[in-house]
Amino acid sequence: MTNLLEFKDVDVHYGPIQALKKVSLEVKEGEIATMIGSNGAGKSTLLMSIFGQPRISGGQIIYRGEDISQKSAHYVASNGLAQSPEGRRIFPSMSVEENLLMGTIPIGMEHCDEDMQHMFELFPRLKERRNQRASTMSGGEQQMLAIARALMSRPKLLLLDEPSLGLAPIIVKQIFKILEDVASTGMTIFLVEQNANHALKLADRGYVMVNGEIRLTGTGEELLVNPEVREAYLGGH
Amino acid sequence: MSQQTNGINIGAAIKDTIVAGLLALIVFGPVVGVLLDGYEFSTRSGDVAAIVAVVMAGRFVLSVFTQTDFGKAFLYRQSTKDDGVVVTSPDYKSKMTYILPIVIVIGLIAPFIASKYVLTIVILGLIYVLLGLGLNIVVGLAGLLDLGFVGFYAIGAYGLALGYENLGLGFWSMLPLAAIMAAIAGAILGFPVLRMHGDYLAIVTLGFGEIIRLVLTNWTEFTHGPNGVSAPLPTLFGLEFKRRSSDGTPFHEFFGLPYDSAYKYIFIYIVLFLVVLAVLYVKHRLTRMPIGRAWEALREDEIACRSLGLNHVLVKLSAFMLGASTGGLAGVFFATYQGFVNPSSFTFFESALILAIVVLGGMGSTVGVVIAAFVLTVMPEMLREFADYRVLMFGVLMVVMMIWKPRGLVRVTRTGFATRKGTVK
Repeated sequence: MTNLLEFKDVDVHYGPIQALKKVSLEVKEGEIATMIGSNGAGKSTLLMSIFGQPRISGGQIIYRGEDISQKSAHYVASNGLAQSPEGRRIFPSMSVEENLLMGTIPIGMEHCDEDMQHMFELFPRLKERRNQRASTMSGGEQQMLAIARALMSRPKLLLLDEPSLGLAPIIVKQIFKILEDVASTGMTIFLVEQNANHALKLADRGYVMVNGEIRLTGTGEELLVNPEVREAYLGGH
Repeated sequence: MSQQTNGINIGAAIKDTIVAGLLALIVFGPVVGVLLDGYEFSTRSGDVAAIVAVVMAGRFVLSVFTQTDFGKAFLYRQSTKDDGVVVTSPDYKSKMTYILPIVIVIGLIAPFIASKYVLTIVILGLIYVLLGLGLNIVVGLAGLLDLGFVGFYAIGAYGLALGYENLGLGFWSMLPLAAIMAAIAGAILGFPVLRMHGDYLAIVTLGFGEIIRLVLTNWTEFTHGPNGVSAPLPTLFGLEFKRRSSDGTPFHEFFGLPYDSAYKYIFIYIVLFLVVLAVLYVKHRLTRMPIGRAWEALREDEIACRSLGLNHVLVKLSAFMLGASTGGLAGVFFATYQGFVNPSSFTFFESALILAIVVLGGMGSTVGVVIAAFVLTVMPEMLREFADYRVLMFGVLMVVMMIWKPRGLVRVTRTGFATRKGTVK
């Protein structure tokens, strides 16, 4: 399998503070890769640096053979990288359908009807609420909408920033079930999570980030049984 | 607690009344009650007593009213801030389809019936409609707070006056040119500052408006400073609207009509009316195009927009430039209508007035802006007799509006976006 996305010794600084230290990782085509880490480990910084916000201060970010580390955010986003940002960031005054329509910006309206139909099959809840303003929906539904909106651009690689943030365990379970379905269609997913248990169960490969460095790497199962990971993220049980 | 009758707490109402009365006494006592007369002063306790009595009576009535069932329901309706945009289904037919033709017909007949005085007020109203529509794109749709909008207005107005003086360009050539000039000014201002948000952007644009005004005031060789410049009247295929034309026949001689100074206003009115209609149409179409959608999305969440591949700088810049060019158009009409421009027409108060139009009308609402523009320009004219109280009335109107209609006169409603082929089943 080829590498779809690759980080090579990436450094990121926020002023004098170094947020990422020589981070190297790869996301292979067709797999689910996950990155777990506690608050402030640099997970979101890592995802955002793909879009050049913040710009990296060293190393390379290679996407499909091209160094995208100096490209603008909208260039990256219109080339098959879709992100479901942290905190969902749906458009609150737009209806569900309109939010989904906004997702088609990178590829145009050509496949819009077909894809929207597909999204409504994937997320039946969204179909029920299609004409409702997005701000009136629950957190879980908003998260579903954010994922569906990202999928509307038919991405090569789906980036998810903490989809379980602030959701009830049962909803988290649902969301991860849907991600599994999405992945089974051959979609490459890079998932950044705090919920190590769910994320590692879903993922083919995982990285553990501590203080801006990749501490551990391995398959999902390996990491799930790793005592260090269990101690730090799974509360030792 | 004091006695309850029908759920109305009279005791509480009396308490409110006494508090309001005391406040009125503190406020009006020194202001109204003491009359200075040279080094002497006399007291006018009667007037103060009357004012305080009115305030107390009013507060009591209000207090009792808000405790009735109807009053409670009224308060509840007004206090629930169901903010956001009402989204109608994509195939919704607006009532405007029937109202609009009537408005157009009335608008086209009106100048031939109305008196010259009324006409000049309506022209001013329409100029503010243009300004409001321009700022509405920037503030209402794209969510960029612009306090220096008057700068673009000034560029349009001075464009006509100075273009005529230096280059001999008339009304018709300056109309598109002024729009382009204002748009370029918008781009020059916009490019460096659009990284900013909210308050910071507001301060920079405020500075821009002031810079334009100060340049106009102080660059006397070019702009004639505070003395102003005269601006040309529009022409109808080369026919002028003057009593005597220096070159060629004036309008009234060509058609064999007696001279009437109202002709030029009728002509300006009709051109302006058509331009306003055109701008309304363009704006209506734009809000339904991807660019309009992008503006609204940008207002709601900039980060989400960028993660979806929108070039936020271009989207903001387009809103800024389109808004500015509309302001430039308004400026040309203002200059030709006044026949004269000077920097005192382009103070910060104008920017504030235009912003008030947009806010009162309802951010992003086209109909609301049109209504608000007329209310805010025609009302001061109608209140000429109460000239001393005009600004007071203005303030009261603002306060009342912000309490009861914080989202503007007209709720923003927009048609839902849909794919070209229709909605997904």
